[in-house]
Amino acid sequence: MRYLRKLIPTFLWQWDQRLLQDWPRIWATRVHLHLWFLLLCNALAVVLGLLIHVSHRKFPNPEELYAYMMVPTIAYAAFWVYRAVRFNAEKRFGARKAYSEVGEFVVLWISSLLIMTIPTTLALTVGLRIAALTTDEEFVDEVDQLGGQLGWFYRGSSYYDPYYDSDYGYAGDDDVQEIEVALRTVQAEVDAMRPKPAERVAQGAGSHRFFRSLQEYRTRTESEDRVLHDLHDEYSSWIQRGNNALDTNDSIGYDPDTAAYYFAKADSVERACPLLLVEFDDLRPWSEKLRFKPDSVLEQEYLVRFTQGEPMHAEPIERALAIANKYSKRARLIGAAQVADEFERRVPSTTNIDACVQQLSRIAKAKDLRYFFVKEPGYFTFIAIFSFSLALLLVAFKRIYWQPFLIAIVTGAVVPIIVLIAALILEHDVIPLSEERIMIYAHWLIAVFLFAMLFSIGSLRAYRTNRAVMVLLANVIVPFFAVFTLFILHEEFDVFGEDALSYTIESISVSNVEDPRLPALHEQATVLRAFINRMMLGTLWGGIALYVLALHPLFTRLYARLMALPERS
Amino acid sequence: MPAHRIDELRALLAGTDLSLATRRLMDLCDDYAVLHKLRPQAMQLRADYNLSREMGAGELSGGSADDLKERARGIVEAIAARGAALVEQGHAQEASTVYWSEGVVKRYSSGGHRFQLGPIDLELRTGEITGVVGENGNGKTTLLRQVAGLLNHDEGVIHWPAAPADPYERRGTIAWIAQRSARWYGTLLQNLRFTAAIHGITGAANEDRVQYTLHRLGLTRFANLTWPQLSSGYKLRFELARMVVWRPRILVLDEPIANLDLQAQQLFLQDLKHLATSARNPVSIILSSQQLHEIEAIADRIVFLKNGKPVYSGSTTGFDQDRSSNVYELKGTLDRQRLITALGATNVLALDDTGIVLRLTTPRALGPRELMLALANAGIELSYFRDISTSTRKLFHQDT
Repeated sequence: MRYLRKLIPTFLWQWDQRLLQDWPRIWATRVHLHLWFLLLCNALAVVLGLLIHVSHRKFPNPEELYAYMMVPTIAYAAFWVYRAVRFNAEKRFGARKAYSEVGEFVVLWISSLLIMTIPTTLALTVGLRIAALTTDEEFVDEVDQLGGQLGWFYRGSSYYDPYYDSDYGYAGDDDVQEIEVALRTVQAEVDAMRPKPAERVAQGAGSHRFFRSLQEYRTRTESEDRVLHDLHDEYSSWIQRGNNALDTNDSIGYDPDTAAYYFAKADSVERACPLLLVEFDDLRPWSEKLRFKPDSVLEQEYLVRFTQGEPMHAEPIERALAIANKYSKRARLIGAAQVADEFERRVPSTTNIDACVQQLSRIAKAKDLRYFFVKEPGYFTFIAIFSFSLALLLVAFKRIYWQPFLIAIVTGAVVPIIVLIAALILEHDVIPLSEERIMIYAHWLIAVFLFAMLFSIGSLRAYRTNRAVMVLLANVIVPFFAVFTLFILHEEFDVFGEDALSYTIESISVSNVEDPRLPALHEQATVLRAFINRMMLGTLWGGIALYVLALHPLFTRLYARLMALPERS
Repeated sequence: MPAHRIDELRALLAGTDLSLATRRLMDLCDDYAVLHKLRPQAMQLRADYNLSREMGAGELSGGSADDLKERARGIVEAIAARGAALVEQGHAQEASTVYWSEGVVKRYSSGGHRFQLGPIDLELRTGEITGVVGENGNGKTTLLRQVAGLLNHDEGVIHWPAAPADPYERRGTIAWIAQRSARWYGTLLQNLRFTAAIHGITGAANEDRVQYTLHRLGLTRFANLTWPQLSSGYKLRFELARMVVWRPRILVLDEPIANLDLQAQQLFLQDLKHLATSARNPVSIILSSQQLHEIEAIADRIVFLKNGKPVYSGSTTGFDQDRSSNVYELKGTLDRQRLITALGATNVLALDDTGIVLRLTTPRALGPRELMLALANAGIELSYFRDISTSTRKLFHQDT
């Protein structure tokens, strides 16, 4: 603590004293020191983020950094809670002012919200550095160039990647040479022991498919099952039967003539059908911001070149390999000639071009991080409500004895389980409702009961632990009660008419799918859904606002009264 | 003009008790608004005294003491020079009832053991100290918790006439110091400022009030210390400081001097007396203790509890005024036979050996002077003598 004190500047100590003497409630939240230390923590996070090594080929995952930083953040939050509950105006029966109580609550809410800046700052700093590795234009161009050449690479899982170990993943640069040599040696020994294989290998080693025509290729998405499986199974079947007929161990089945027949059939498939399957998806990193060429455009460009018999150009192939190698050391620069050879031989590419996929998608994600605050309203809603709940619990803890607080926590955890068990026992047989409905109604009724019990606090002559527990539970529930009620009204009683509208649409669709009223009804359903979402969100935030401004001081008074009442024994 | 207070200060400055002199000087300056210009000087004097005195050491002496005395005399004479203005602008307040109860009963029952406190009638007035005495387990703490509004009662009526009806607001006028004070956080200074501020004493008034309290209660040197750095005696003084800083109307203390040494007890009780009788902010103090003689020395009223019943409840000086006998505690080179020989059989109504002292009951006519003379004439040497005829102490040994 002494070391921490040294980090606090003089002016802050002056503010500290002034707050203490003029605004004791705000002082008790320690918001001034909290903001200062948050500033230091965030500055430290920025420095750390700047020190972390970031390159095209290697950088940490910002999301993982965020997760790691949650550990010190939770530790800081615990420390903050410890500091924030130390000084308490209510437990010393200090003067009460409603606006001051509201101010205290808002300060605690914002304080807990700001704690989340610690993990965000580090992740964001690193993310922004990753995003800045390449300009948006350059990145989009590189991805498009890479994608545009993919048609010349037969990619697939059957290619043996010497860099990859199933247990340990990809080896580092230093390990590669050694592993390759060892593998070659082992392979040579195995080959020497094995009799010369007479088996024929399917072209492309399963990494590609045969199509009867370009038209068939273009329509593969809709008719994939029929086309691909039929022809490919047929082709594989010829190869397999031919290999079986050449099996010298099978004295009955061995028949080289029959094998030649089967292989001829396979040859006919290979000769007659173009060997094509271009999947660009793997190399299309998802991004809301970056405008890559869509798959359809890339395919069209490739098909144009393929159908026109345009030869493979070395330069774009080399460039694509260079781009892949820029983002992954595992992408091999084998040269355009070898790529052409592998394409002609219809074998999987040994360029390992897919190795850069993960890196590209992480960079695209990092570029999206710049729009994180706009892109993820759900995340911020969650954080805001989480910190609101934390502030609510903290304030409640400050204003009542710890014993009812703990009982309330346990009760809050146990009651839903009891309700669930009761619902499972009673559903349908005793109560003509499903288990979900029983649970929803039971929780709503419990909440109403707790609210009703609040009215008895005014007439109490002595402190009662059970009433304190009820006040605590009611306090936690009340900000969300309105939205919960609206949810029940919507789901169970269809107050917005969404179910009725859906039923109407369904009825019309069943009788006539082409009914001219359907588009308008669908549009109406969309608008209604948006309206319901707005209403739900508005009710949620309205409930929270009402709590902060009006109900929080009310609950504070209830706590204060309970704390001031004499004990019974 | 409160001439007696100025005379008191002059007498103190002529003696050696500089601690009491500086405290009383602060009290005087605080009691009269007209002395507001001298108040900072008195505070500074007291602060300097606190800082000069080594912890655990005796009273100051030598040059520093002389210097402080000289400064104190200067302030006292400046006060005296203001003369009649003090009378006109004084803040002396009429004593008022801040608590009264009638027929209050509290019953406990646990594990087959039943206990009933009361019925008790009690009145607390500002400017008065009420001592609650009795053996352990006789309901002293229960009574004090009822007065503080911490404990509900089963029968009877309790009123806090000067306090708001709302329980929370009312608790804001009653200060409660438990036998074992709860741990607090932060420094002593922070706590005093915070406590004063939440009771509406903000800004410059806050600083003034806190500094006044710190210096007045001798806590100047401890302002920046925390809970673990204070001894139990100073923790108690801090608790007192934290309560008086916001000027409560009722101060309730449960066994406050149990853990204090003799000097600290004296100091603490002196402060309580001065606090209660403050002309500007008189407080009603009620406290429990086993140190009967010390309590009787400062209390205006005594409540003696035995088996939950108030055996005596009234003024300290009025106890057993219509008695027929006197009771003395003696210790020395004496035994029953020597006493009877010295005093005569008719003067020894009862003689009990408590194991520590002899308790002698005599006819009322045999006063302490006569008794001492008789014993001296008989050549009996005494190492301990106390007249408890008008002390509730003798109730400890009576069956009721």
